[in-house]
Amino acid sequence: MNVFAKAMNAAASGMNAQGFRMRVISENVANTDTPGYQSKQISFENTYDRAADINKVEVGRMTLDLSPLQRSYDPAHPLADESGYVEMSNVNMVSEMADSREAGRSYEANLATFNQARTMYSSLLDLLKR
Amino acid sequence: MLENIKMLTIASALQRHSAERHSVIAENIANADTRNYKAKDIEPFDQAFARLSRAGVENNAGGAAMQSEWRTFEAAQLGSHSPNGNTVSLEEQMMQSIEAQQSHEAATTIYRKAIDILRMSLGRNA
Repeated sequence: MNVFAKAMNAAASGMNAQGFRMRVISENVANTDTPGYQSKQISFENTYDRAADINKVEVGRMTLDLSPLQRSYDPAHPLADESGYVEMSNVNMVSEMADSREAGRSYEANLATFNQARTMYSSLLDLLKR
Repeated sequence: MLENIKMLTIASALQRHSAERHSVIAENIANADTRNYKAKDIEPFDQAFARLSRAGVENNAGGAAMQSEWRTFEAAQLGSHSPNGNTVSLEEQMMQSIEAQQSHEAATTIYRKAIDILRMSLGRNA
């Protein structure tokens, strides 16, 4: 496979993974106020793509955050227990925000690499046009 | 025929080297958040070219350095270790990818100029 296609392939796998990560983060943020929601977490795995001869990144197993749910005192809530507490989600807004910033930044880095590979390839093709 | 012109040989070897380096950097950036991933780099062009030319002379291939066997090694910058074992520093990788792009640009320009000179010497100035 053409070496530029390899670079673009690797960058595309990175963008794909970061996009998926962004999706999971937005699902968590959307469910901050859902009672009993456990936040989802993903991890990235480095896989060797034999056909393309590159080290791609892939999204690994999705896991649930098993930390205790946040309890808030709200006796008027329909889901409140005898002592008046409701178990809300365990989504940590601060870490989700930091995560989404990191995902966006990594996505941009991958996009920049993709564009560079494209520019290099087209400058090579310009040699043929002459 | 064109491989016999040393300048074109070196320019195309530099093109292949910088393209390969760029592809390694793309892999690093794609894996910037993968746990236990170690950043990679390939050997500098001057060393690689000297090694491949020597090998080419020994194999009577005329020192063409046409093989693109660049050695890859793990290049961890001091202080770029993340708690999850990843050693990719995005800023470092951006610098290196710009370097690779620039050296590719330089090689392409040299190649184009060499072709221009050849064409001029043929008297058909297009």
